[in-house]
Amino acid sequence: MASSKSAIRIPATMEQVRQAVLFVATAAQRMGMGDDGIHQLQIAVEELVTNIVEHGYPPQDTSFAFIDVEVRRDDTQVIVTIADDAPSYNPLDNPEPDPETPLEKREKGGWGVYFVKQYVDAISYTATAGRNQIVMAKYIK
Amino acid sequence: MIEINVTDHQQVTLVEVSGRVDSMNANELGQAISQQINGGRVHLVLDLSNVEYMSSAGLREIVVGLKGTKRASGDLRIAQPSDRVMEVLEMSGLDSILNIYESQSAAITSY
Repeated sequence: MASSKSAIRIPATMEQVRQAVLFVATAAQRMGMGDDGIHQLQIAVEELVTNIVEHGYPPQDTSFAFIDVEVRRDDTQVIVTIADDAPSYNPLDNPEPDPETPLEKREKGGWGVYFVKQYVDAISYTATAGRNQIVMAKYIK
Repeated sequence: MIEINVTDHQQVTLVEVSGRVDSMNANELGQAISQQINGGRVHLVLDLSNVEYMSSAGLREIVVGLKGTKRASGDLRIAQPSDRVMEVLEMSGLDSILNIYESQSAAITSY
């Protein structure tokens, strides 16, 4: 059982989002996650990292804008941590969209975090010493 | 990572997408759809059978495209979505808003 931790730091730019996603996919596969779980983790990571890139850091100040992604596993779960130094913001507080909303009332966005919540088994947000940190866990199967 | 082929079938335009639709390239899908609408072609079929990954960014473009076609008295219909795509359509409730067909020909002839 491979249980070591993997971590990557990416610049907070849209071009780097896929690198973070594929990094998590590779690590999760190595840690024993099945294809469906890997796919769902990829969506979750993409949604969260894209949110940070689009809404986290001020657009004029990207020189020190990074996102840290760490993947580890315990006995039963793959655990992904995403951290950034953008202004404190808890995406889990966003109002949940309603799948029964008619087309004319649908906004453009709002589904990303909702998908994340559907696809992982546990998720939490903390703001510590100026860092935003999201930890999400998904059972290995 | 994404390939888009557009072909006309009389009044219907078929947009075939393959690959991975994510937040980095979903705008390409959006542009392909809006180009058709702007050109007056509003009876669209979006074939998603070869899309193995679609995040909310892709759904956003589908919603924008659907609204655009409806405004012009057209429609954007989905042909044979892959299981991965169907899952996100269902989660977002779009499966009950979109017209979804099991085959490309069924979607094209539905107009």
